[in-house]
This record gives sequence, structure tokens and C-alpha cells, in this order.
Amino acid sequence: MSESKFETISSLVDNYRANSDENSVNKALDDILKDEDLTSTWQSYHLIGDVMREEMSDTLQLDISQQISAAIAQEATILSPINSTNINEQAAEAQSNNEEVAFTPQPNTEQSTNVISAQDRFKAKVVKLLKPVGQMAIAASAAGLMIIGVQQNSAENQLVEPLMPSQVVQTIPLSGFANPVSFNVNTEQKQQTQQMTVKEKNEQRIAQQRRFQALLIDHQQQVKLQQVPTVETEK
Amino acid sequence: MKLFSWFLLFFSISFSAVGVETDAIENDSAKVWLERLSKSLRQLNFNTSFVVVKNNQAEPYRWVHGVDDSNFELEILARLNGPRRDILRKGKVVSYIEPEQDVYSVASNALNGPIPAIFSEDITVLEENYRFISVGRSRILGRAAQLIRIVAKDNHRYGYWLWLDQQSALLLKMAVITRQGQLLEQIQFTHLDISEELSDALIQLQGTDLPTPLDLSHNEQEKHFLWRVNWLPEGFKSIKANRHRMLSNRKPVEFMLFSDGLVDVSVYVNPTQEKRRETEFAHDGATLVLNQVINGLEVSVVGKIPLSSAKKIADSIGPASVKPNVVQ
Repeated sequence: MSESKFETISSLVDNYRANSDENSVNKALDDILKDEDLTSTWQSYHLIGDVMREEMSDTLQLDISQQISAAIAQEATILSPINSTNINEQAAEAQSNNEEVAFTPQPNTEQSTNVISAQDRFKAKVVKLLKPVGQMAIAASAAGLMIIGVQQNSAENQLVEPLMPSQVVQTIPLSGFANPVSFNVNTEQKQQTQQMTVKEKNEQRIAQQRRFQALLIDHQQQVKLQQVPTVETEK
Repeated sequence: MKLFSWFLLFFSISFSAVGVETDAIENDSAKVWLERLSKSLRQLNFNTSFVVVKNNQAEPYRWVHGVDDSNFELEILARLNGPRRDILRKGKVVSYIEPEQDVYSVASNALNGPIPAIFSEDITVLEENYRFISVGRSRILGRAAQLIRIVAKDNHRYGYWLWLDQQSALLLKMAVITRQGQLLEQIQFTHLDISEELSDALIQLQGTDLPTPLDLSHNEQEKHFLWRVNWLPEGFKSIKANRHRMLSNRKPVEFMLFSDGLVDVSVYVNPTQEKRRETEFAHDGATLVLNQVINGLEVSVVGKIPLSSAKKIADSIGPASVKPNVVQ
């Protein structure tokens, strides 16, 4: 670990041989390879040189090999069984990449050496194909439900509207001083009505509503048109 | 609490030795109140607003009444929401302004609004079918009010509760109530001004010419009716009968109007294509509309009467016999 050794590394990095005889250079290289410190120094010098010559890549890539191997060593072994479709998918992927036999990516589990048979491969493909189709089917049926729901709603509105005229908007104004009527309709009709279709019922209700309105309007009109039975009517 | 104490006082009086006589006195006092009411409605200059509450809705009205120097009555009743519906009255001419038709006038002593016309007329006519009971005092519209009940003598009609201003005897609140005590419709006054002079609106009305009243006498000439009502609650009298086309759907009908002074009941009869339709009915506040078809004859009854009465009237329709008209 002398100064001279660092000097030698420096000159070697710079491709400059102070003492140009082959032996000393080889010896210096051997020393560097044997000594860990010198190896890292060699690395550092090269890095410094790269930086100074602006030959660095965009991302500074220090040697991370050691950290990775340390992390892998510390990683806890996963014991939970692997989802079969997951395996299949991965297998299918691996298969599509290269036609080699695929291994599961969890080398610590029992299934690590599972070989996907030809049949399984086929299955995997089917699963892969079916899944998106199924999802689409669900989405489509959901949309269908929405459309049906919307239609249902509007149908209901039409049904309810004539029965309960809005209190704000008067569609059928009554003559005289009558209110817009929201009738509490009571029919004494029996079971036969239950067999009728909604449309028929609806029409019947509207007709009924019209009858009531007409009667009420006319009643009010007739009440107003009462003549005083006195002699002074000419006044 | 005040009301309660008045109740106590009232009961203590009525249960005291005098018995039946006090009842008569109470009855009389109620009658006096109602006579005061009709007098006030005729003679006072008042400017008031009220709200008719029925079917979970509130309809606001403005009502102005006055008497000019020559003792001539002027009156305006206007509905404040929706299309304009005004009723103007100058003496014995009543004009109706409605969106559906041109302005027309009718020769009448009273305008026909939510408040029964009889209240401003001779109210003692009602004694035949109703009893007047003075119930007690309460506070309405920030004023001391006297509650008078107009109770039907039979169960074929509804009762009317009137809250009258202690000072002026004008109406402050009115309710239509079934015999079971169920509230069907009410009128609540929201503002009341009594003044010496005519209000501006009435002065304007003074200078306005109302259309000449319609001549309705020709309607009365029709005497040959095919149908007649064989049952009516006691005290209902035929007001008029005619054949006309219904205002809205132009359906020809034979029409009869009956009244007991307080309540108007319309009966419509017309043949129809349908053989039979079960009885249907609907309520507009206290007003009942009943409709049924039996043997190709459609019968409808409209009026502020209970269902049972209306049904009984509708069922009593029969062909007019040799005597063509309904009992006058």
C-alpha cells in the first residue's frame, strides 16, 4: 500500500508506463488484481478519468452487484403457493419468448422445477384468450343493463306523470278557482285490472284523470253561472 | 292556555243549572257571530290575502272589498299564482277573467270563489240543515278569534269551522272537516287590513265598465229531461238543470245543480258506449268527483259531500216519469 503503487496505477490508467520494462508492469498488474484496495482504486481512477473527460453516461452506475447479492441473501423465502393462472401466464410468456421449457420464477418453492406440459401450454393460451373476452362480456352486459335501466326509468316517468301533475307547472289549468288537481285516485276496480298490461292501465288512468278534470271544470263553471233569481237581473 | 281557560269557562257555564237554555243562548251567540260576519263582508272596506290549503298545496289569493259613497259594493278576488284568474264585482254584476275564455259577466249578488258566497248573505238559511256552535276563542293571524262551528245535522255533508275576528267579525281562518274530525281543506288568512277609504284597486274598478251579464234564462226553459235524481240529502234544492256540452271535452250531458245553501252538488247524466264501469272517485280537497257507468248510463256527481252521499245520489238516478222536472 505504498504511494508508489498508487502512482503505478495512476500511470497505468493513463496508459503511461514510467518504467517501460514489461516485467514491472506485469507485476504491478498482478498486485492490483490481488489487492482489493488497489482494485477499487483502479476503478475509482477510471471513474475520475471518465468524469474529467466527460465520458460519463447519464446515470452514474456504480457497482451495485454486491448490494444485489446481499439483498438476495437477506430476502425471506416465499412459502405461499403460487396462483396457477399466474404460473400459466408466466409460462405462456416464457414460452412465447423462447420455445424452451419454462421454469417458475420462484426458485425457492416446491414448484420451482415444474415443467409446463404441452397441454398446460395450450390451456394457458386459452385462459389468456378467454379472460379478456370474459371481461368484455361483463362490460357489455353492464352497459346493456344501464340502457335497460334508463328506458325503464323513462317509461316509469311517463306512467307517473299524468297521475301527479307537477305542482309548479300546471299542464291542465282548471277554470274558476280550482287548484291544479293532484287527485288521490281510488278505484274500486278488482282483480281484472291486475291482468291488464301497464300500457292499458296507463291509458285507463289518463282517461280517468281526464274525466275527473272535465267534471271538476264543468262543475265549477256551472256553479259560477248561477243567475240570481231576483227581479233586478237587468241591472 | 288562554283557550283552555275559555273552554273551562264555557263548560262551567253550559253545565250550570240553566242547561238547555244556555245551549240555545250559545247557539244564538254563534248565529249572532255569523250574522256579524255577513254584515262585515257586505259593509267593510277590507284588503286581505289568504291561502287555500288542500292536496298538500297552497294557493294564494288576494281579496279586496269596499263600499263606495252611494253604498255600491266593489269587490276583487284574484288568484296570485299561475295564469290570471280574477273575479270582479260591481254591485250585482260579477265578471270572471279566466285564461280559457273571454271575460264574461253574470248577474249575481256574490262572486264565486273558495269562500262560500252564503257567508256574505243571509246565513240563517243554513239553520235548516246545520247547527251553529260557538266553541271558544283562540289566536289567529295575531288577533283574538272566535271559533264558530257549522255542524251538519245529518252525516250527508261536511262541517265548517270558522275563526272570526273578535273585533270585525271578519273571517280569519276556515276549515272543512268530516264528521270524524278529519281536515279536508282549509283557508288561512295571511293579512287583513280594514280601512275607512276605498283601496286604489277598487277606485280603479269603479271607473271600469264590466261586460253586460250573460242572459242565462234560456237555459231554464229546457224542461224535458230524461233523468231525475230520486234521492238527495235533506235540504238540497234544485238550483238549475240543463243540457249542455262539457266545457273541456264537449261531451253532451244532462246536468242538474243542487244546493243546500252552503254546498253545491252537480249531477251529470249521459248515455255512453261502455256497458259498465265500476265507480271511480277522486278528491280535490273537500270536493269529491264520482263517476260510474251502469247499463250504458254514465252518472257523475261533483261536490263537497262525503263519498257515501255522492254514491247514494248516483245510484238514485232513474228515468224521469210523467213529471218531467226534478222537484223544485
